[in-house]
Amino acid sequence: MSTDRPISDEQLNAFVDNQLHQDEKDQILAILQQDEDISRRACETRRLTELVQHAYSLPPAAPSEHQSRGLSRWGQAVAACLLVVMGASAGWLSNDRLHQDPVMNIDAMYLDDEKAFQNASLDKAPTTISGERKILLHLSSDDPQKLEAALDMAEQMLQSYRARHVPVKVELVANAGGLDLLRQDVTPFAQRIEDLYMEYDELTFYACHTAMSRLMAREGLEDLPTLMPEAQTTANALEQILSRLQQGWVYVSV
Amino acid sequence: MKIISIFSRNPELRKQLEENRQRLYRIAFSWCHEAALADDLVQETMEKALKKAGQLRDKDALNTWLYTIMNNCWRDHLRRRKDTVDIDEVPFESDESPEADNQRHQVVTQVRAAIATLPNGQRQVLTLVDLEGCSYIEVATILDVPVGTVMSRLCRARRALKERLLNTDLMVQKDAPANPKLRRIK
Repeated sequence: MSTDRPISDEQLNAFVDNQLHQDEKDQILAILQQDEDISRRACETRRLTELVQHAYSLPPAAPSEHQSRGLSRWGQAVAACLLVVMGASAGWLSNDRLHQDPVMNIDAMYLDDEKAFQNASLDKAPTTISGERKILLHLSSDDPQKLEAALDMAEQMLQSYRARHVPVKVELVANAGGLDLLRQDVTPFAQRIEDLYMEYDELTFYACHTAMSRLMAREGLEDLPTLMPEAQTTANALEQILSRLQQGWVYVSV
Repeated sequence: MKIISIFSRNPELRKQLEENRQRLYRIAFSWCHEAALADDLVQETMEKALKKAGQLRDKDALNTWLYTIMNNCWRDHLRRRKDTVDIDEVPFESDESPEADNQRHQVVTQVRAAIATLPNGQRQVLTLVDLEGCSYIEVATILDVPVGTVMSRLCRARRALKERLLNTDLMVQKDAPANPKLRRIK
């Protein structure tokens, strides 16, 4: 620890990792406001954390001989007995699915050849023409956890398909309470949206114009709410969803 | 699944273990950088967890308990491999083959390579904090070391990584402002 530094690296780490009490955090925040060097060090630490997370966001899949292995020898014995009695048990198939990227197992919906709605896990839903994956993520809740989940899902999908060299397009369409994600004045995830926008050309954010108009009327605003610069508007979210389904897109509700 | 549950001594724990498999695997891989070995560590951890289910008194501490078991499995493995060396000082001998066919993979490869050079003790602390969001006290419990050791190892790990990555453009965010200010987004 250097004596000429008002904040040690250990303290700064604890601050960035949210390990300090509120009064300690307040003290460091006050110093950060005034000391560019310490602010830069904190940013570097934060950036380092992001890089570490990025480096392991998609660890390589376990080798196939490991994937086919059950939970334990005891579990294998139980499974073998059940297979004899019941035939192939769908429940045990989940062992294989657990080795895959979890985002691939989320429920998705699509229109089949006869234009009937069908449900499947994202990875099992049929690929659109030309082999490109096209996914519409629909967000209609203002629950902060859902807002974050929408961004997480979009990022995980893009990472997963990119890693597998599968062309992909993702549209995140927000209406109703989900507008909060894209409203510049209320979104808690402005930086994250900007980062994702910069990182992935394949990702587009859409806000429902109808929902924006309703919000303006309901809250007595003079203008439509201002959106994040990364967001576009679509006339009506539900129309867009139906249109995309007709075009062969896969629909995922957050 | 009901019939399966009849055969299972602890279906609830089993379900929780399965739900945690991906997270365990990610941490295991970050420690050893070998997919097959990471899978073995997870498998061994889950088997031990099922056998020792009675030791888990606080269900909220499941993750800490699982990481503690996995740390023991990992240390056993290192002991078998290098029984005359302080296992907390063991760096990787090699990293996985680079997949540098796009920018993401280049970033991933560079960062993993930098982490690979860290001694095991520092690597474990860093990944538990950064990947799993463990508190310093949880890490101290998992690794069975004092909190002060956790802090000093984390400090050394991050200093080393900054030095290794500082000369790359990875430490500079796109369009970063000239005078950066820390901003919490979560």
